[in-house]
Amino acid sequence: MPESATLTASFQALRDRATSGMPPPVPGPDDAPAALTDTIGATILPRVVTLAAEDGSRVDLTVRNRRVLGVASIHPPDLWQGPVAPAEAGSDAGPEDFAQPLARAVLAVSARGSVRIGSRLPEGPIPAISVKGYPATQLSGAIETIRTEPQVHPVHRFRDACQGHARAWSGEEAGVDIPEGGKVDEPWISARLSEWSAAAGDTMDMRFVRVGGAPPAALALAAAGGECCVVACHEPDDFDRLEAALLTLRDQSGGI
Amino acid sequence: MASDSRQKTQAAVDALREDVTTCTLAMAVDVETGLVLCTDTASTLPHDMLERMSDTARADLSAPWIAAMGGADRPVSVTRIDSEGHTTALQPAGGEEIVICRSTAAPDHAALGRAAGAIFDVLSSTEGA
Repeated sequence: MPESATLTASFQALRDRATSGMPPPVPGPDDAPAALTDTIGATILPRVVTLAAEDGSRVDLTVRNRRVLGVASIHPPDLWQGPVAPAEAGSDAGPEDFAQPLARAVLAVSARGSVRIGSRLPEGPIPAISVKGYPATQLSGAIETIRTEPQVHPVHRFRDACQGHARAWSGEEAGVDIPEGGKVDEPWISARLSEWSAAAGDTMDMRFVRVGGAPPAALALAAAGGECCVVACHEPDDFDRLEAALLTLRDQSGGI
Repeated sequence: MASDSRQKTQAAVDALREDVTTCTLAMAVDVETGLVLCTDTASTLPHDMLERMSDTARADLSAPWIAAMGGADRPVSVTRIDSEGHTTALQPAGGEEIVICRSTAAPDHAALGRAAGAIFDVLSSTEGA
């Protein structure tokens, strides 16, 4: 058997295993979010409801009484663009922490085509009865809001995903944001933005700088379509998250 | 460079490519001697491509924001993210040598730092010899 045929067969086996027990794909990507909320709306007893695309991206939701209790898992992790991690984002939290990131993740998986929706019994502990959860009907509204919101430039979305760090940006909008107690000041970050704006081309350009020693520091530099952004970070625990945000920007900037 | 030192450097470059799981190309550049040692998953590599990567890494590591971050006397890594993946250039504190790692995804920076450190150690011991 030729090598390419062997690889294809292995991939097929993996795909079959990943989708076994799942119903046929939802007809079109536009129908997937509504089909998901319909499934959640029809679920009374505790279940894990899964939205999965053929490429392996998926969102697993713990559901009870027609409400989403929480995000059981999400893959790839950068599908979640909320200010707090999905495991920490309670379904009773505000829309910025839960409903909006969830709606974006649902739309992102749906856009990847050949989407399946299934449900299974939860394997881990189920959230306490005091957790009310997020109603399926409101999730539909959050998805529709995100779907119809004006297109945000990917560099602005990157900037917004880096809240809490020193940031400076230029282009159609310009601004600087220095969090309280930050280790750099406005002139410093503005100077880095000027240098970066002069160096970055018109095409997409992204770099992530890490400087070791004490204290360690990182600088994320992003430019696309005439928009530039610089983000400084001094918390090593956040370095990987910041680099992942650049990766998300690259994936979202295909059309630029 | 003596053949023994060259072999040690090559072994350290090979180790980087094996230790950093998503790495497809590892490269060491000794700026003083112009030495370039490389290992990758492809069978052949165009020389001009290696030169371009080396020039780009050198430019990235001498960008003005590096000095502003105190990178002149501290270890630095610069990762370029593009449609083909990640290309990370590393330089030791106060050193001129460069290690380049191209990877399909964000590399494990701890593993990359360790492997690059081993290459820098070999290169600096060669200089002292």
